[in-house]
Amino acid sequence: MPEGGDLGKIPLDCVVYRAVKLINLKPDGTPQSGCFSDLADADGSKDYMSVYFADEMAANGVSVKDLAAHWGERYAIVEFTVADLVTEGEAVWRDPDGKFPGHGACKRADGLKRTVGQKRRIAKLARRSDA
Amino acid sequence: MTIVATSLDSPRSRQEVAQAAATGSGTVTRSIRVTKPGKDASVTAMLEEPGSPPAWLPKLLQEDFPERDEHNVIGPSALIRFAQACAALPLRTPQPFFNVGDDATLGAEWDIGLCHVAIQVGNDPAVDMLYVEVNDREIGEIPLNGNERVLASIMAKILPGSLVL
Repeated sequence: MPEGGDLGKIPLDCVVYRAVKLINLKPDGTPQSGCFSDLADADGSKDYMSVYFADEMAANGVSVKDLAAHWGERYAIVEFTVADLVTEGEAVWRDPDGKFPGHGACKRADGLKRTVGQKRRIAKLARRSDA
Repeated sequence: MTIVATSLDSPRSRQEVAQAAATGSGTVTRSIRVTKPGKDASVTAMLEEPGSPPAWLPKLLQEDFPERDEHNVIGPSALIRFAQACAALPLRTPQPFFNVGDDATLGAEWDIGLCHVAIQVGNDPAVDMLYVEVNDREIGEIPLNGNERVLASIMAKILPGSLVL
């Protein structure tokens, strides 16, 4: 959806979760930059990065532990805030997927693919939330 | 998809060929063959730089990246350009942290001392990038294509035992 996404409808201090593969964490527990890529799907309909919004998860009675269980043992959950993403030029929006409450999406507001530098900056902001 | 380092002049096991390619021993020609099932799907990329690539490169291309590419989204051309970018690295360059991104890119990054060096290679060469950070500060991000020697030069400068930047 870019062009600001749902900015204004999602609190800037809302925590945003992202599931990343454990195998893509470095030994110190920090995620590699490549963990923060848009999905390269065939038809482009999901050409964004999947995230989960804590406020909507809470409203539906699920926690980050439930999210970790949903993704399974091959994944870790990291978190940042909506403000972190917006500061990095991201548009964020709610995008219910019918699989787990709070699903949302983000993408560069200009619609372009993230560069490795932009991925790196997001990776540096990410904190483990399930460790 | 399978990837094999191969000799053009004598039949050897993949392991022997990969080892020889990594160490520069024997008569093995420095090539990496990337094969994919289907017609017109075999490509041989001749590594352009003289000398030997780091020892971890053949395994990274043969086994590690294909294993991480669960959805088989990475094309041979991306693997070839990744190989070309890394072939000129100093032999003592440590194996990078690596990943296959959801956006069909190969990522590799090194944390060496205060320096962070990352490359990204995708099916679309336009997304190939080289990124450098020193002491947590971004130094720059430039296209990787055409700057493979810059990557090698940076690595040579930041590896332990080198003069500091």
